[in-house]
Amino acid sequence: MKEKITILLLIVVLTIPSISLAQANNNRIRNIFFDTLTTTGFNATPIGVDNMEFIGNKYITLDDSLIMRQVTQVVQNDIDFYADFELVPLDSFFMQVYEITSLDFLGWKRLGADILVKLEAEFPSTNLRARWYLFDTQTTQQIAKGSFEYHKMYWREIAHNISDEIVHILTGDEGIFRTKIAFVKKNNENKELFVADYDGANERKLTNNGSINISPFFSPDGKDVYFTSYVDGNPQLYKVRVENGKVNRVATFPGLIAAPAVSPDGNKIACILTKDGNSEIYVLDLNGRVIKRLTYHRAIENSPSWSPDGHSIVFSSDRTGQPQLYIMDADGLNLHRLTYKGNYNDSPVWSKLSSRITFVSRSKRGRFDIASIDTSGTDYRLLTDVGMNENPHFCPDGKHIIFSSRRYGKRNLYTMDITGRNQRRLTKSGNCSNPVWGTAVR
Amino acid sequence: MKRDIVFSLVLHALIICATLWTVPIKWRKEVTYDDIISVQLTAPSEILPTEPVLLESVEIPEPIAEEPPEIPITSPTTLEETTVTEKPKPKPKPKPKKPEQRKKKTTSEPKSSGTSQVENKEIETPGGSGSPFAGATVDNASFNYPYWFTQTFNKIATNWKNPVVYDGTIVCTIYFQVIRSGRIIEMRIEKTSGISEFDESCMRAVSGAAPFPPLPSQFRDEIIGLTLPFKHSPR
Repeated sequence: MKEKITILLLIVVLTIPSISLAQANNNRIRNIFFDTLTTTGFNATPIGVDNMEFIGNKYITLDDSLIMRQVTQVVQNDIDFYADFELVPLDSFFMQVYEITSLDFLGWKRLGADILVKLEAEFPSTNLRARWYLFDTQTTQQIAKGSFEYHKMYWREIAHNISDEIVHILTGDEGIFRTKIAFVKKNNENKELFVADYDGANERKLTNNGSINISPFFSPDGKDVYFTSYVDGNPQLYKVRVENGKVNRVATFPGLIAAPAVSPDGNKIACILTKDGNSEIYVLDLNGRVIKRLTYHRAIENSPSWSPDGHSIVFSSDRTGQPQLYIMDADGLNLHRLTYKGNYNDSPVWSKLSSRITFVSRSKRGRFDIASIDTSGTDYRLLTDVGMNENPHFCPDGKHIIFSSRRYGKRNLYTMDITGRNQRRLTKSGNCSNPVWGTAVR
Repeated sequence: MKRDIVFSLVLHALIICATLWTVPIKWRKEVTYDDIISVQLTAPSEILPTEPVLLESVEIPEPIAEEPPEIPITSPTTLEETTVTEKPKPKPKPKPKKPEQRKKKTTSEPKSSGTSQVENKEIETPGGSGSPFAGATVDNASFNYPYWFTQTFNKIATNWKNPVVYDGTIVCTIYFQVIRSGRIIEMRIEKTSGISEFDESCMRAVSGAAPFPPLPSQFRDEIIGLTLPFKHSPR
């Protein structure tokens, strides 16, 4: 009897952790499935970036030494950010144990790096001359080398240039480390446009009119930002030169002009006009004249975005009662619905390089997540799973996404890979929204 | 009343008996010890010799000395020179073959013989034989840059959307040529899988992944050709 009671008690005691263990296993299986979906056939290249060495023949100042450390950090950060790469950190514990100050190829290989970046610096006059070398740690072959020389105050640009070269040598793609982002920052009742480097550095104000400025969008060459401003009362379309902050009005219409999107060839602007009483999608030329009205529906149309070839436009519409995504030809024909999953899908953006569209999708719990879908309407994926996430926008290389999120209370800007990995915060001040990513000005 | 008291007493007695039966009371806790072994905390004055026990001989492998690279990393310029001098002399470089010539060879000569077998060099694919690209070859044996293959195959694998759901194994072999800038100049199906959708997906994977990493500057030729099998295996 006692044994029976004991066995019964044991069963009860053991069942509870078993159930929770099974639950955990279920979660694990689900995660593996998700990972399999998102990373099929892809392996990030592990890269080590060694500390920059001084190779000059005179003494080095404290400032120069600081610049060298910062250049190393920026290159490491760039490599760590890039979706195809994985930064192998310099293992200080390993070095202390073996009492060494620098690693050779074998050391880097043991740490897991396939590729090694070595940096050298000289300081001729007021300049920084940075040399970079790329090695294959398996074969110890030198893959490539190069150098940049500017005034030392441009050390950050030099570091980004080196990272761009590394990306090009290893992937064949253009680097993104000299690209810019633009976004809206709220200050009291005003909303101003700001511009910054891709990593959030060098932030500066782009507009300063004390009004409400929203919906920024870079021109394809990255030199101008189109936006909607209430500076003259009615929300109208303007553009601002990134280089000098010079603002010009592009178009004025009765009612509202919103959500401008410049076509890939840079000759047309798709936007929302309410001049006919309802929000419809129009295509304007660069002087603000209407080329064509694309939609004719009583519903609210919003957020047009061009396909990379400029032949199609994706947008959101609540014509079924809830916002869903639709694709149409650039002349408004062949309209078809793209999303059926979820009851709220909005703010679509078409990738510049792939057949993916990213957008905001509301979950059943009411949380806004960033999702992506193939242009064929298949392969729906949720990319975020925490906080309220909005305003996604693709990086020009199509491998990264920038978005705003309130996951830590304040609304800040974040970036991630298109698989949802490597999510990192760019801004800390809060009140940041509507980020867009422009190409590097050549 | 008396009956009730008697009934109550009997019931209590029964409960007490049942309790005593189910929970036997141990008046004294029995403590059992294992065999007691007496030890001395100090060493004995003399240690008696014991017969040696013969253990099975175990072969200890000699430590493989990992020779650090002889190249000093502090002077990359020296390294480049050293690397070049240390590299085994490459075989006479075959001239980049024109697509027409290659076509002739593959159509007229059997694969098991002929000079193309000597020139073609199998590539170590990341993932080994489990890789969908296992068995890939490059038609210029002096092109010995593992990182280039890793990056290129990574791009192609990322770009490949296999549309086929099939229980068997099918292989489609694509041949393509890459020039110095990393762009493709020629691409064709070398061996069809027999399923056009699968073949097309392989072609799209290669063309969509371009441009590839530029050919290394140390490599003297202007072009390389890759023969890449896309293998679909049942999951």
